[in-house]
Amino acid sequence: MSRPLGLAEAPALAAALEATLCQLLVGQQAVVRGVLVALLAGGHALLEGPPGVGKTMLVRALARALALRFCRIVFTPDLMPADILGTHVLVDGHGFRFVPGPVFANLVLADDINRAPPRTQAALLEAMQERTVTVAGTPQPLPAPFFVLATASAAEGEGLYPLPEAQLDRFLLELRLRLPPEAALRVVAARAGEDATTVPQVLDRTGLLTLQQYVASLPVASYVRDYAVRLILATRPDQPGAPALVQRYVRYGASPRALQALEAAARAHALLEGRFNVAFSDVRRVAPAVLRHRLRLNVEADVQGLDVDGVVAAVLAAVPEEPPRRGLPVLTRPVRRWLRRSV
Amino acid sequence: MHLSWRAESAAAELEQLLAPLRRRLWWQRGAQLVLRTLCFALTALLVLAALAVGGLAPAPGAGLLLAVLATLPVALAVALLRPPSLLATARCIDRYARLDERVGTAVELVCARASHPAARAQLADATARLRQLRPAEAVPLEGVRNDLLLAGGLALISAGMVLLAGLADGVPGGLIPVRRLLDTAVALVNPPREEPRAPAPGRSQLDTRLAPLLQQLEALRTNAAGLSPEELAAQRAAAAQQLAELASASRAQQEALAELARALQGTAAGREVAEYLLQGEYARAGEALTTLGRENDQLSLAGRRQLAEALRQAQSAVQPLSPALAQHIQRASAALSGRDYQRTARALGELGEAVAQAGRGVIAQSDLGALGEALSAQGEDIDAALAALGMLGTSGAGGTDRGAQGALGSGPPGTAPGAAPDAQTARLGVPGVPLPLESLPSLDGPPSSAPPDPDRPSVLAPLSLGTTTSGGAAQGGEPIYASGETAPVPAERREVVRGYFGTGGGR
Repeated sequence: MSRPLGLAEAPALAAALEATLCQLLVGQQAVVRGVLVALLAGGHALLEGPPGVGKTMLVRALARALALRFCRIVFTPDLMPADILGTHVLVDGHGFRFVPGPVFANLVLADDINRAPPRTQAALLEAMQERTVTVAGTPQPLPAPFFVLATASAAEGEGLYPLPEAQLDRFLLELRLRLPPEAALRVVAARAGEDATTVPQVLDRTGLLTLQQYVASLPVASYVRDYAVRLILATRPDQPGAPALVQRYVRYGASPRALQALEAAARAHALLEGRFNVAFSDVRRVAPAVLRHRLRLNVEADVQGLDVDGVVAAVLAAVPEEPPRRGLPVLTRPVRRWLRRSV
Repeated sequence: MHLSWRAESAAAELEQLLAPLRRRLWWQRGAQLVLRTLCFALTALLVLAALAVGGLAPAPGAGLLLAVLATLPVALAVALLRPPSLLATARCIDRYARLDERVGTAVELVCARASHPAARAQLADATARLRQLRPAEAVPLEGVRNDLLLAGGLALISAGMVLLAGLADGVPGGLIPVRRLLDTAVALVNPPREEPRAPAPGRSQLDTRLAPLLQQLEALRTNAAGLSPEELAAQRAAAAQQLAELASASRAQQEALAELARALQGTAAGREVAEYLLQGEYARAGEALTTLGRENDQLSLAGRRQLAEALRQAQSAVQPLSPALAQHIQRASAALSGRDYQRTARALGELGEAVAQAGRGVIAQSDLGALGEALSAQGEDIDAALAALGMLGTSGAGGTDRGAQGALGSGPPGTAPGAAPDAQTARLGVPGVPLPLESLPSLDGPPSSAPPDPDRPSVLAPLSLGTTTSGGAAQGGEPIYASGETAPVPAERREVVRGYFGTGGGR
């Protein structure tokens, strides 16, 4: 890994990394792709799903494949900010010395992040955003790369502190794990005795940082960017062109940060697809994971049992890749208005 | 510097690879625009033709066909004036070849002169993909083929619908605009030459209905010495009256047929019949009506309706002239108003027979003229005969008088068709019934008025029984004016009439 990584090799390395993880985590290709997208885009990911589907194993395998330092934090109601950030301790004859917390790792798995009180959550989320921890007035930079994979308990009950919208917005993607299908379960059963820690190293820390730089520099065509903008606008209920589902069930839509996240995630997805440019398909593929935790539905949607993924799907279906022609809206506006009223 | 040169060469190669594809896309878009415009125009034509078939609109004419054709050069010009840009070409290639916006992004990078590593990698990737691409994959022509098929199908359906709409005007009616266009073009290229008109077939024999009358007059002439002047005058007067009745009956039939012709002239289906009637070919007109009846199932609803309406109008005009013919016309009109094709065929066939029969009742003007000459040669009672015949209102001598053209003087077969009688002749009374001359306006003027102006068309046409209008009367000879039967005829007028009929110089 001493040779500098060229851009031409980047797609192949990314594909190799994905193949390695998919081999280990059977039946969760979409989640592996999502985690890699978040990692390459330099963001963080929020995982939702039942326990026992391989979240910890995924992060652990990722750390091994990238030769990065991995740390796991289980959030509990009594967890304090100092428990994750670190604290100053008095050392004999040397005064106070900063002892870094578990957040000072390259890959951090934050289990059940919604079980910790808001104060602790805020400490972690600030570290995620600033990539710096300030303890006793002294800023402590976090190591690069820094990637947090948080899991949230989907079960509702006592002792849960749901993440506020502003803090949810700091996660690049929200990924949902499903229980693996039958075929995947057979493979998992067959591998029961194997050592899951024997993951080959695909890339090192420097290589990952280079990949992240390449991803950030991938070009996005103006019309693809325009499509992303129209997607974001379509999630806002006050927009005239928003789908009926959005206008009825969405309380507020995606923020400008969502647009940045969409573009960054699309870039990473393009590299994983072996391309050096962002395509419409990249935007469409990452849009649900980018938008699902950024849209807030209203009470009526809760009453109707509407899932946010349905709204995102409606947005994707309603926004065409090509912008509507100039003369066309004038002609179709009455028809669309009538359809909207009818629906 | 090195990197910049590489980027420029890659950009040049990209543009070089895109150039033929751009031309191909230009052609594809132009063809599609032309074909889609044609489809649009054909759809409009189809709708109009369908409306015409339903009787809701007139059949599409030549102007509409020309407008449809005129859209093509307009669309072609628009297509030629709007070549696709390089970016549009790239995006089309991306879409057709499923290149995931590779080429489009590369073109944007070239336009922005980006030279960072990712841009170079992207440019190289796009160029490599383009090199492997066949033109048919990059810009396929399936869309053009589909549009061509659609336009062809629409053209066939539209042509069929236009022909169907034209059935209202007879089977070839749908092709009338095309035929007229072709005729006009041929006439422009090769103007028709004036051919000498064939002389009318000579009539060596007098009409059989007039022959006994002529024989009677001959006998009167040869046996004049054995009769008293009173008997001679009485027999001459009887002959003149008989001639007048024959002429009147002939005129009534001719007027009735002219009315029918005038009504049918306004319909395309009956135009051929009308032409035969106006040319005096009554037998062929009858045959044409029978043929029309036989093929009446090919008439559209609008055509039937039009024909029925024309016959209904003709019936009301023919009724006072020829009640029998009017009855047949009424039956045909009623049958055409319905949907019973066999009944229509029967009714039109009977009408054809009636027309032929009525035509047989028309006596040629030349025969009437010959008999008039013979009668005038008998001398004294010519004025009374002429007065009796005055209500014929013929046209031979005063051919310029429109009012006289529609009556008996519509012209014999082979001459120019005359017009239908107008209001002036209608005022003369019911045809077929001799009118008292006192009831007619005297052109000698109301009491002792000045003689009429010969240049001014008269209400009553100058009388002429003959039809060989090359004589003096037709060319400016003294017109003969009818006067009251009981009024004394001036001696100088008698001389004029004798000179006209007797000397042979008059006609």
